[in-house]
Amino acid sequence: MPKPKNFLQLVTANRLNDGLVVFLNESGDWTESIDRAKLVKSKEDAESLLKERSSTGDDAIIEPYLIDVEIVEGTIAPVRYREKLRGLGPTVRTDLGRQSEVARSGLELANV
Amino acid sequence: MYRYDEFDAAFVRSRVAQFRDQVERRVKGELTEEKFRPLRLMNGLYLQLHAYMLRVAVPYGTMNSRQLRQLAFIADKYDKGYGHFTTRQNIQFNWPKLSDVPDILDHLADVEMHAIQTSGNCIRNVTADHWAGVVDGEVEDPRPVSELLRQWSSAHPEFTFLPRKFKIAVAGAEKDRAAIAFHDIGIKIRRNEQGDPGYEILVGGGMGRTPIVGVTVREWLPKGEILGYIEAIMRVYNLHGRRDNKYKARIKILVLELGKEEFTRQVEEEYARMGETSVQVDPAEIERIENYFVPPHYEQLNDADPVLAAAENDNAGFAPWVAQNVAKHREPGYGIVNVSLKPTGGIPGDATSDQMRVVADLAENFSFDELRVTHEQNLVLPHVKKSDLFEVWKSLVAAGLATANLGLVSDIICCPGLDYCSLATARSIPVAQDISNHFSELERQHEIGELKIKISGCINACGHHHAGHIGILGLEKRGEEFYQVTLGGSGDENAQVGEIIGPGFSRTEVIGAVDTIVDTYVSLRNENETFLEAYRRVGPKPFKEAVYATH
Amino acid sequence: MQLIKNQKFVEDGWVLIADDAPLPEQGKIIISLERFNSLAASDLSPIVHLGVSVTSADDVSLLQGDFDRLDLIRLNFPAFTDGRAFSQARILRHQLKFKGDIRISGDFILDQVHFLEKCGVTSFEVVDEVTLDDWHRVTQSLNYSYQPGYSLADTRMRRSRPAITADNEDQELVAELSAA
Repeated sequence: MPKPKNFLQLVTANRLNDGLVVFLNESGDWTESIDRAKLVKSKEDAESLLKERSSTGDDAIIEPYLIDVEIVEGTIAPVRYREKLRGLGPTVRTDLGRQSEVARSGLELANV
Repeated sequence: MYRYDEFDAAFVRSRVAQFRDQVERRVKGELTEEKFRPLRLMNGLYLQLHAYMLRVAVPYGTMNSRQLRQLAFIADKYDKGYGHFTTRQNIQFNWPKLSDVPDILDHLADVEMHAIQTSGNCIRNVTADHWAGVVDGEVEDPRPVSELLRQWSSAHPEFTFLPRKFKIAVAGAEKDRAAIAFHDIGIKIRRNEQGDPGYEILVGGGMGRTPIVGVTVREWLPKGEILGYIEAIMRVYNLHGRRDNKYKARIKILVLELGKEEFTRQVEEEYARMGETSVQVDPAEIERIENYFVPPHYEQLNDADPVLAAAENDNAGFAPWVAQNVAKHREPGYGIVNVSLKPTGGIPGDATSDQMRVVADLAENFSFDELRVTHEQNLVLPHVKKSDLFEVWKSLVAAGLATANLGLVSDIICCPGLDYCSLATARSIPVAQDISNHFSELERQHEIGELKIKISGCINACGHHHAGHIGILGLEKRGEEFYQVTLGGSGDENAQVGEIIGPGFSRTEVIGAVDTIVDTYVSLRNENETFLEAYRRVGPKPFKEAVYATH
Repeated sequence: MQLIKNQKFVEDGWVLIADDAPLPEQGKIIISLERFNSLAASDLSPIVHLGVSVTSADDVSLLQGDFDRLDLIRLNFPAFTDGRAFSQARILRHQLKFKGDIRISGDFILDQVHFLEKCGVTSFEVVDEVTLDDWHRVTQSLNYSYQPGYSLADTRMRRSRPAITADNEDQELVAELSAA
């Protein structure tokens, strides 16, 4: 697994009802857009953020965990290819998943 | 095929209601995710990379047209218009919502289907030879005993929280098309010296990170004793299988650690101790089930059909399809039609809802309303009159389902890999697509002959790479996808675990390695020698030399 | 902790005795298997009612010779995913015909209760908050069974596939346990 140069992480999870990938944002809500995710710059902050979210009893999401990210051309991008794929949708079906919604909405895809 | 009686129907409805209650308790927060997870898994509901995935059982791979149409309906209404047929004769939907799943299960129950025990540490969907009941050389149809096992294992009070998942497969002929030696329990129907049919019982086969070919613990078991004997095996496993390490929890590790003799002794001891508490199957119940699998009313036909012969002459694409995808039926004048779900460059095992409806119509009109799912991720129309083959072929062509590649290099078994699966370490589908595109010329594929490529996207080996003539395993190395190649594996009656040929390949290199392996085989083979036969004759050396000389 | 038996909350008259605590001379006591095995018959008061608590790793069949001394055997789930207690109960109740109370402790979940009953369990140590309504709803939600060789530990109607023959003695045992 590649180690990023600078420590930068965020919390991701899947939504309980539809299972879709979500990210924890600055206001403590879960959003489908990685661009708005809350970033933490130290291991301590990361762990307390995850712990805080896991212990609030917020059952609207499941299986939260931390991922390494980096800033590429001003946008947030996961470091591992697993997480890149997870953010996009199946690479063999680009008509499905987050990638298709982003394409449809005319937004720029984040560097995932 | 089997039809539910009132009891079966009530059981499945009751299971759906139970799951509906479990989902409600989960949504209300009465059940934590930790406690809900095993409950949802026991109804086939996984959390995958992008969303939930629902795995629906197709018991021993047999379905009717109404059931396949219902799957198409579910794909359209609750998913994204397609499904994925798996190596365990199941179908997976990749985008269901948790709150919709109880309704989906009710729709399944409407057509006598379910998702019970398609996941979790319990006895999974029992699989069987996909040509059961129609192929020559069968001792008995493996489906009645598979159905008996399906019923017996459903919501089993004792064996639902096992150390690990548990898979059973049944073969009814000497030729093994169900890969029984790679299952926790493999059952082979065979005759004893007196000529009576019974069961040979293999235990401890499996793939995963420790691939092992199962060993025979009973050469021949009388038919009436099957449930009792399986119960004894399950109890020894439930009590003594390892629970300290998930990777050592399968029964194969218990058999390995105890040794075949000691394991067998413990099973026989338990079986003897069970005595009167052992479940004896009433012969009337076996007969009731067997009656559902009696052959349909075939017409008396000549085996050679003039309509077929004429059509073969007139249509360039038809004859190769008949030669490759239509297998010999035991009844004169009929053929076993294999519907390839491996179009050039396609996703192995995927079918759109429209394609499902086409196959359902064909099954209803031309195959006594019956079809099969194969562990090689294709479909089968088991009894088609030879005079109907041309009609069937035309419909399949129109639906993109007539690729004449059964058993050939592009008929690839492939798990969903990292395109869908949260456990995967690399993608597998794009590799299958590359290979399929590379060998897109059917003529070349026919020249190469039978060659089974199997691809897994992680060590769990859902793509059966250990049993591939050429096996490909996707891993992650230094942040990149990376592929290990094995040769000489086989999932048939001469089961064998493939051997790793050497250092792995990057995503772009792997296609070249496969190409070199295929070329090497073609250049060294004797007349009529298949890839596997040639590999067994010459060993890995010439392949290694060729692959690593050019890479 | 609350005790549920025959679908009802009941007073738990049993006391779990720690390994280093002195043995009472009377009453209903549960001691660990380890301690039980280390005691001579004379160490135990003849009027005490005895239960033994086993772990999921213990071989319960070794208790067969002590059945006349034991009124209760307490099984344990170290984690709800560890299903060894199902087989232990099955062996005790159906193979070895233990007639006393088989009690479940530890990390089991409500959804396992009906399976446990079928394996021969008769009482449940419940730690989580649960209402009797929940208990009834969840534990009675699957009323059909393909395994008639497993008995019903209460008298509720549950259908089994009739054509697979069950052990008739089990039915007698069920009647006996339900009456008790």
